Amino acid sequence: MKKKKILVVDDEIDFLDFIKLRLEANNYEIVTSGDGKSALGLYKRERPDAVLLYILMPEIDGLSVLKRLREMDERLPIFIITAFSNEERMQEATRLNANGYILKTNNLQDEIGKITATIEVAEQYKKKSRK
Amino acid sequence: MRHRQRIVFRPKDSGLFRDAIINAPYPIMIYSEDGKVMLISRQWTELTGYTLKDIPTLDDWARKAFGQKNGYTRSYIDKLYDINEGVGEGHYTITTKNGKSRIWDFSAAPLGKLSNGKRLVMSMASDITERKLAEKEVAEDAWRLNRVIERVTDGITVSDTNGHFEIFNSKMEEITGYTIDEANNAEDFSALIYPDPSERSRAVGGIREIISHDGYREVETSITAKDGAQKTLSVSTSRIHYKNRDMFLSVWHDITERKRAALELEMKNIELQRLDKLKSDFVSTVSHELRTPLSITKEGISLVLDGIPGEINEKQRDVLGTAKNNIDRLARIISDLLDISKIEAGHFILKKETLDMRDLARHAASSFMSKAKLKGLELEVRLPDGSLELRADADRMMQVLTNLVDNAIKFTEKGRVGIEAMLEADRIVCAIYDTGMGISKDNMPNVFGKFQQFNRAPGSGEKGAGLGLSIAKGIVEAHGGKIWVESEPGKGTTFKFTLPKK
Repeated sequence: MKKKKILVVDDEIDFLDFIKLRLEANNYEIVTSGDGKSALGLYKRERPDAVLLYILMPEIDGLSVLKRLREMDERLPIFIITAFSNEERMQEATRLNANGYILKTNNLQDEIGKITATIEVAEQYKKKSRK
Repeated sequence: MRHRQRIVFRPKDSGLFRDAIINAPYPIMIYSEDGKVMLISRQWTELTGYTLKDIPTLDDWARKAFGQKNGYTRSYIDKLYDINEGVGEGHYTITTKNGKSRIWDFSAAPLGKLSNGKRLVMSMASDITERKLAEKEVAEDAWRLNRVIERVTDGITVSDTNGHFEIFNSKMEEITGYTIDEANNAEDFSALIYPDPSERSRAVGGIREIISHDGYREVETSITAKDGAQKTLSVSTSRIHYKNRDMFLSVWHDITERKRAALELEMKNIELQRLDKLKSDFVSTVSHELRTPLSITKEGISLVLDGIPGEINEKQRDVLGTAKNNIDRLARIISDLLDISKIEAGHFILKKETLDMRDLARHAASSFMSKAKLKGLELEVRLPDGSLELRADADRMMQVLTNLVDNAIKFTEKGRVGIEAMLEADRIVCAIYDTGMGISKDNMPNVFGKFQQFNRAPGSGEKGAGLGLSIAKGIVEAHGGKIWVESEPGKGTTFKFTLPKK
């Protein structure tokens, strides 16, 4: 079975390195971007199955990238990456039509469970709509 | 009594003259130069009580009225006749027949010669006793009033409609730097103290307002003193009737100091708020900045421990395990610091929901069961059958329970640790008790203080920043509850807290 592809967008390079290692260990193919600008181009080129997107980036902020991604694909699994753990972020994610949030401060292995589940659901939906 | 013609007494005039003197509305005495009192008016007798029989001679009069010998001398009479005019003699106090005092204003005049050649003098008096008394009272009142005006710690002025000052007390002189004379001699005193035309017109306009209403006006005004100093005054002005004229009474209260202090206080407040915000911003920024590299480090260690970049041996596993524990410890300390700074800044937000304390207690017990067992301690939970429902922040209350149970286990080597909760009137009461080493009397007052670590039992990666109890107190109090501790060294410790149901 072909590996699922995830696009990770975050300006923290060390974090990108680690999450790439972990996601690859979970059998994902990873493409990374350090800023919002290249992220959109990368998305169009790579067509990933899910996107992990850090919200508080300088230059082009995560929110506008999120909006653009949603415009391009309504059902794309998008998770916002955040360092804060409070309900505000969760509500923020829901409001912007992200599928959920990943907490940088949590155990990443646990967070990855969410991603896997969501990608699976999106996959099911795609299969159904093709039939 | 200036102009008198010399009269020579003729026998046929004397009766008329006599009657005129006797019935005159003034005290009059006629005496001859040999000291014999010829005649006194009825008024003389009425006012003094002395009849002619009582004072046949001048000496008698002088003795009785003045208690002394008469000072009249021949030369005095000579002088009178020389100038041929009456003279005023001045005010004297005389003693009446029944010992009372009266004040008389005397004058004397040459009257003419008797047929035997002896010269006569007419002595006339004006009884000014009542007037003098009234004057004295007025003077006393004025003196008293002046003392009050001077003693008062505010400036007091009374001025007429032309701006002329009748009263300008020394406090006013002190405030303005001008004396009353300087104020009255100035062409326009208002221009002196209000060099700014707009301020001047405002002040003067205020006076006009009072003229039109029968009123009273209180304003704050800023004047320039003689030495250039700016002073802020609270002035109340009212119309009064003084010395039969329409005048303005103003009381000037110096509030320069008060204003300056208020301004200083306000500026200090602004500065305090600025510093407070700076501190809050600092804490939240720092904690955010600290957390990111912290979580990355933790993830790095997790990756290696999970074998993702390659297999590791047992020793490597141990070392990394210790490192990971300390990362967790660091994360807890940062969290505590953030909590305590929020509590102190009053930015502590609680997410209240309806929950049952029993659930929280059970949850806390279960999470510490293994830790207690490892130490050989019993962990018991005592809860009532009835519900312990209340409105509280679940996460934060868990934080409190976790902290207290964790402490209890840490400081107990043998015996038991327990969680108890019950309902008491309109409050939930919780107790976390242990049979541990207890807290000494010296340490008791500091238990809930910041950065307190008492006899911490050594444990790997355990030591925190000593903020746990301080935070627990902050959380309980933020809920409107109270927390306290009872302890007996060597026997055990019980932490208790109450929470309102609502």
